[in-house]
Amino acid sequence: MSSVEIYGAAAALSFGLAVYGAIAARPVIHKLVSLNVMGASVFLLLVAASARPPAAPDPVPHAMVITGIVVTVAATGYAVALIRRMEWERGSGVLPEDAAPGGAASEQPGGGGRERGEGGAPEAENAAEGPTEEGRSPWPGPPRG
Amino acid sequence: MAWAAAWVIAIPCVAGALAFALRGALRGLFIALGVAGATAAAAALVVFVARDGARDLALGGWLAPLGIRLRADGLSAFFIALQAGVGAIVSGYAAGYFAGDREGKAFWPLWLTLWAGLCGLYLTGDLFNAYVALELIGVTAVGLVAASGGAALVAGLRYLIVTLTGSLLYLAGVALVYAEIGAVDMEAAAQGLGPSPVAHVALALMAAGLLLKTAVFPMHFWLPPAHANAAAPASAILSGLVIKGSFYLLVRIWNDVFSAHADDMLAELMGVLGVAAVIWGSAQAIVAARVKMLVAYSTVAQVGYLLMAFPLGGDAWPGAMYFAAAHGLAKAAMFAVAGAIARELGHDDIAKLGGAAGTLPAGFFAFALAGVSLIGLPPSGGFLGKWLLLSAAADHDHMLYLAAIPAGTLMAAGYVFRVIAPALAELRRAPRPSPWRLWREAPPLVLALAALALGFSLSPALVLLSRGAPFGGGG
Repeated sequence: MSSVEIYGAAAALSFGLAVYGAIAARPVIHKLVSLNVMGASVFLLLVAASARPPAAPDPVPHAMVITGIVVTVAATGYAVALIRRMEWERGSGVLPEDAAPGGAASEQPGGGGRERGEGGAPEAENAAEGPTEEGRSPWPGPPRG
Repeated sequence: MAWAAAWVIAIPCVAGALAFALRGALRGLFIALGVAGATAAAAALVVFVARDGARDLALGGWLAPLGIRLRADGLSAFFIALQAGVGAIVSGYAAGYFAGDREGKAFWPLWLTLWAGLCGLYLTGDLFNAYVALELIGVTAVGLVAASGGAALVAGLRYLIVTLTGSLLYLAGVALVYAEIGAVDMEAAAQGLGPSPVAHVALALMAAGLLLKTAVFPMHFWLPPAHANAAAPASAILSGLVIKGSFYLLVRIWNDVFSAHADDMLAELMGVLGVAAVIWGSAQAIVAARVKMLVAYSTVAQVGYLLMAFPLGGDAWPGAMYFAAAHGLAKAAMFAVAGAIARELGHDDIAKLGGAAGTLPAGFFAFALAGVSLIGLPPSGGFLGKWLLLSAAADHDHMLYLAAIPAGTLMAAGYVFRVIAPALAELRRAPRPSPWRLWREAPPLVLALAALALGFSLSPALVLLSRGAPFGGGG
């Protein structure tokens, strides 16, 4: 088995695991990390495909990987901002459709949305820093203006 | 010619950046200039392609293996015409919708950047560049949803996860193509891909990602909440235009890159998913409680017709493209009217629509006209699109599609009349119509009339679509 095949197989394996994670995980952060693993698997495949032994590797896939990393970083930052906003508004890091019936993260009808769901694990450490008007929420409010 | 292709992408891109950076009257001026300029550039490009045929543009003089090609053929020009036509009218509607409203602040930069992304996707001749355009479209479209906050924020977040998953599935296919032939240029890939299993896996991955982004049943779950909770101009853009982007790319790679690998089984599977989408989406629209939810589920249904072109082939391709254009116009009109209803009545509950046509006479007229095209009654673009699909199905004796298209038509009539019928009963005039009412009613009326006008312009559209022979055969 050549090194290209080993890298290719590793990429396929981690891609499959990440697709499972993106679909099956409940916290949105978990889904986002799975998407990052998906991206990394594709980049691994591209870099592996650039090997042309004994000649020097093909530089074009590296340029594509760089572009892909830029896109992924931007999209990840954007998703994290949206997730924080959702946690601030709903007090849960789990999408309502994914919340277990009757579980801690389920929607509380009637304005109980400030309660922490399972996505808000860090609250114990830094709850004191949170804005007092938002009760127990450790997250900063949405951007003003 | 070459300059038109570059300006089609550059103008909305720059205008989007300026709409983000500037404030006050200057901002409004550059937004208006951007929309006008992008529409004019698109019109010029369409005229050039219709007159001179398909053209390539090597950006910066870099040729294919290293450079990134722009390519404008009839299919690109057709979708750019749709983008610019619907885009310009929806922009006018958005100006009235967001007047004196802080929510509009986020709308314009996102919308103009989305415009640039869609045009970039329609013009690119490079598989990897198409991925970058897909991500640009996805991120800005999610922003348009999430900007409304509340339920829209949650729907937007789900949409973001879905659209990123779809893009990465597509990118995995691109990586496999590169691993196989060492190129991502579409033309080079079409020539270089031999009958290898890798090409089939690549096509399957790309198709899965793009079907997810096009909201094809059963991967439509994210669409109704996202489209129904966004602001009305954003919904019109998302349902009328954004869905068409990923569908276009699927059609493009299916016909131009993987024509040797697109096997009958995959095509039949997509056709069956299309039939299921028509039935399921229409049924959900018939039981929907809100106007916007009804219109969003109708999008799920209408996407189903587009997919029937894959198994039918031949004349069904221009038919599906024509149907996509008619749907873009009609659906944008319907969401615009739904927005006007929500603004005038303060709700869009179907159960409480009684007599609403007295408040929004032109709006409900536009909804009914858009419904004519959506149902597929003659004369309208929707009718001609369905006619072409039906005749292709009859040619090949595909009983499934011959049965599904009329069934979907009946169900579409059912959900359109659910809105029209109560609104016309016991007409009431609004005590005080809002000053923006006409501005919110006129753009959807123009869109709906354009959807009807498509019923009279089939032959020029078919000539345009045949430029560069995007579906094989002569042209």
